[in-house]
Amino acid sequence: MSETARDALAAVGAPAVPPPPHRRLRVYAIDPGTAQDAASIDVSEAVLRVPWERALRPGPIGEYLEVVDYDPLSRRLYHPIDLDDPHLLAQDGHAPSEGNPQFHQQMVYAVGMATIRNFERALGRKVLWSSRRLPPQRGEIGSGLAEVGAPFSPASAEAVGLDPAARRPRPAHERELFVRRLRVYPHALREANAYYSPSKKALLFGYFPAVGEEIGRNLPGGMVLTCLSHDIVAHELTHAVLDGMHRHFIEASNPDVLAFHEAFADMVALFQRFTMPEVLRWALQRARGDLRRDDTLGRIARQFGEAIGQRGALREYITNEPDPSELARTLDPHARGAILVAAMFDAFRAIYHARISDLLRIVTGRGDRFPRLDLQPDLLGRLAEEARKSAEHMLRICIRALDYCPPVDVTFGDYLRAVITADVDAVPDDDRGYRTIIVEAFRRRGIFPMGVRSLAVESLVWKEVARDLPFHEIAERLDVRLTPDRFMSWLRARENARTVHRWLKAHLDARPELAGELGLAWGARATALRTLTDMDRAQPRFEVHSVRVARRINDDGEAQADLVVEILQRRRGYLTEADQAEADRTGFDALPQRLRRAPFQFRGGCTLLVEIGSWKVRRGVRKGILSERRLAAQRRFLGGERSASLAATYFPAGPALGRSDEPLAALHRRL
Amino acid sequence: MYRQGLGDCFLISFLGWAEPRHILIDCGVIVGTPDGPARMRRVATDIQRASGGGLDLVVITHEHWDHVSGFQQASDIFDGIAIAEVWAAWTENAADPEAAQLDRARQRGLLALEAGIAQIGAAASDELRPVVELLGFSGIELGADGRTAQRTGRTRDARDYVLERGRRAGSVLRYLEPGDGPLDVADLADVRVYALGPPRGALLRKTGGSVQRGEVYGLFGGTGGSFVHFALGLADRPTELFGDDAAVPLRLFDEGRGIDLAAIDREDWSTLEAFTAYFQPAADDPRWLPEPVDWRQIEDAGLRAAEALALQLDNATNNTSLVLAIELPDGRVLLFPGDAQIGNWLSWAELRWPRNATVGAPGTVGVADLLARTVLYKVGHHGSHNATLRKGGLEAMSSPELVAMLPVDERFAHESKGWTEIPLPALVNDLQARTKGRLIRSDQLLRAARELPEGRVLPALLEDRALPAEFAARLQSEDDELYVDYVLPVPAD
Repeated sequence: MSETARDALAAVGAPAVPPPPHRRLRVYAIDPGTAQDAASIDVSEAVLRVPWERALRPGPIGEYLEVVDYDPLSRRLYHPIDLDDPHLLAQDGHAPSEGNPQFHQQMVYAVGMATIRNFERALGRKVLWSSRRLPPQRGEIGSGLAEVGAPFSPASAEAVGLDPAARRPRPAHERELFVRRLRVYPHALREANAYYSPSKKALLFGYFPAVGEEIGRNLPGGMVLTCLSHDIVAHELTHAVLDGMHRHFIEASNPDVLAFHEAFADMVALFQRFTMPEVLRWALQRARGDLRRDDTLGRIARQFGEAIGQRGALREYITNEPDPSELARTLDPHARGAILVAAMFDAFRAIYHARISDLLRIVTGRGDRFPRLDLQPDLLGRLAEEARKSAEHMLRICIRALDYCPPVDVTFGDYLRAVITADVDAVPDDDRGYRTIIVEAFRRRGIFPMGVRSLAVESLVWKEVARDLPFHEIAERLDVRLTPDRFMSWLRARENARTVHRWLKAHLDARPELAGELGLAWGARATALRTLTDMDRAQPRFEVHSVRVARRINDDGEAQADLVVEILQRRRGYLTEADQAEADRTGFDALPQRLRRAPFQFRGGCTLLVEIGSWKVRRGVRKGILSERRLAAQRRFLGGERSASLAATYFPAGPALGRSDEPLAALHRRL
Repeated sequence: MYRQGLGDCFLISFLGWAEPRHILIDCGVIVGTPDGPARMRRVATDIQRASGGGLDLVVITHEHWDHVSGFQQASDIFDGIAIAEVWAAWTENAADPEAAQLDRARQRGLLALEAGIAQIGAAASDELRPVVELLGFSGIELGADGRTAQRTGRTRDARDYVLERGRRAGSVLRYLEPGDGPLDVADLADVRVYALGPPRGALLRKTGGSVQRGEVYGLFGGTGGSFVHFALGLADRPTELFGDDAAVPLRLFDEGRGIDLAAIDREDWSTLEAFTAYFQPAADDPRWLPEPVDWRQIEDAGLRAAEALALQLDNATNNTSLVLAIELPDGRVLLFPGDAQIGNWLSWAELRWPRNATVGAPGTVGVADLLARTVLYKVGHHGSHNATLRKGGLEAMSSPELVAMLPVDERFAHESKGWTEIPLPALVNDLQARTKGRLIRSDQLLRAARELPEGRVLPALLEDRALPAEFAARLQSEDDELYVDYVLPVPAD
């Protein structure tokens, strides 16, 4: 080739191929059980499109997840899958297989990433895992960045615009460290269990042989793997995401808190199923479009349920008829959570049926009558599309409501109000009547919020609080920019929290009466309440949890954003009124020994939604730290109403009732 | 009620009859009790004194150390006491096929735990302690190295001592079935005993609360034993216990998948490339210095399986408790449920006995009737949460005379065993309310002690609680630190 020709070629260069938006990965659509069922063999497999991660390492280890395939009880280690292997890229990863550990790694990664993407789309921001918290280390001198994470290099200080040479004493309160990746162990337990571990920031999945007389369609002695169930993976991952947003939601302060964790995880798993077109079309065809006749989509973890001898799926949301009295007599977190999920599923079904009534009218002449024969493919396509949209919509509603929940002590009633308020903010004009449908579904399940005058949407919406709190004063100091870098968003949220804290403390000191509006106690009244102060301080404290940004579209169709601010206080709680009264008025040093260790932490505070730009507090949710009613309810719950488990008898939860290292592990023996 | 510590020992003396008669129900104290053997010897000596050297009936409710230890720790003293009759539940009868099956399952579970603990031991010995403490009920103790557990077999020896006494010439050994009775006891005129539990069949396996469906380890299902080994990843299954169950696979994948770490020294694991992520933080982020990641490791994953299994074993044995209702001539009932768990309680509902003509109308007697007439309730399992059924159990004990006796040592349970919910505060409150304050705890003395032996602390005084005067007058003791008597006058005909 001549030199000129070579130069000409070099000048043009090879055309650059932009990275693809998605990575396609094969998974079991529901679980391996469906693959063994001749009737559903065609749809046992699905292809998930997950965000393309550049530089995905073997594991897979990406930006959000690190899959580590170590099985300690079998003393086995499985080679990590390299999803960038061209042979895998060319065929959407490994084919689903129970006998191939690399496929298991692929499946937990794929379902995990798909779930994460659903959260990010609904929230309009990056998913962050809950921080790792370390107890204070007194007297140590660290770098100026010790507070944001001990192992911090000078280069990193510069990266975030701080002077690496600055050194100041490490604070005497707990340290918070950034956790970039959630660990996923696909084969961690040899038992019918899977759970999210808040202390390890990890998902642990178990496997077990199906043995016994009633194992449904499972092969006797065959292995059931929880990591191969879409529902279970999505469920556990959702626990982790929820913990990243609301770390106090694993503290059982009332019967609804842990039940909410379970319910929310099931809701995400359930609605996410409808995004897999093959299964959706197949199930809708079987049910001829009528979700009341469906026997696939409204069931959670069928293979698992059958394998543990339950004669059916782990949880059923189809056949579950509303009974308003059920809530009052159900305390087990899973069973109680199932009531909330059932309410949301009822609402979903009603919305779907509302959306397809025109199609039904065209085909059968009546908007509520389904065809009696198989669905014509075009009609099936349209119904599937409406079901998918309804599910996506419900999923978004469910997730968005998280920003509207109180920071602690959440109840199902609170969640209903959060759902409605979030929806009013996101879709001001409810011309399809979705909100009424949701309220009605909750009412039929006996779920009512406390202290509202009616179930009208206007009464349910959170009201504005602390109207005159002048947030605009710190507008310049708050950094509300979006960043694709998750560490930066974590860091900013913390810095913003610190800014709000300093500013709010000055305001509270000047006007203690403000505290009541925020569910806090401050000033003389607070100082007199000795359970509010720690053992080494005379003054009460409050915490500002990470200040995050929530995006939405306002009435005029403009993109609008709110700052979600959570403010918290805690108080030592005792199991009898007499002990509480004594501890409330006695300084810590004068307390008798038996009262020094409080049986539980009582928390209060508020969530504020502050509109960025106008800096008005648009809405607020309060859980008053001085609320005697709430304190008494928590005392009753911890002291007896809670059905104490035998495990709690022998392996007590540690210093604080209702909280332990692995709050979800025991709970999840039934997943 | 004896005050030996965390354990049961009840001597019922019938003094108003032609001849005094004595029934002993259980005699034991939990593993790890300071001076446990010495205390039990004092108790046995006192039993000998109080019974005049002859027991008309000895009842063992179930095979747990805290119910039978005394028969081993003070066997020489018991050798000197005549025993006319021994009662035990059908579950203790080795010749009963269902009992034998149950026992095999239990032995398999214990063997597996023993091996499992040895395996996990090195990695998590501190956290392992609660599991071993729990196994103390079944006679498993931590070995001298503090890392492995050992079966002592003493619990069985203690139980067998009593059974053997029943087999001796001149004595009677009787295994009771649920529904047995009304039985005459010790030639006591007009005193009848009803056997309520343990049930046969499925309810025997129900130990949990309301909604527990499906056993985690299927311990007592057909192939349960292998399941236990499965959960702990144990390869070694003794064939004499497992037989065909060995068919359950232990391995997850076919041969050739993955790296067998058993063949590699633990020190070398971190050098395996596939293991990098487990031992080292991701190095892709230049802002972060390497940080140890041991906090995310899962070496203790088997611990929870061991815990759950230990609990299940413990519950299973508790649920084999022989439950007796002793009916006095005037129809009042003393209820001794051992440590019966929920399933045992629930099973009683189906039982019917012929009604004795002297009490009420002819017909049959059901458990609701017996509970309504109960005036003394021995609180099950030291006041833990699932050994007293609330609805249809405690709530049905509606007699205004109801008295509860709670054998417990709260301080020891909390401080030495770490069982801070024994007794369950909510249950204690409930008992206080239902008995109108007539709750007798073995860890509360009648009055301020003159002097307690070293290391012995009984936290509160019964008399501090403003007891109803009539009730307080019925509480007596010559040696308050050793026992408390509750005197129940039986009206003459």
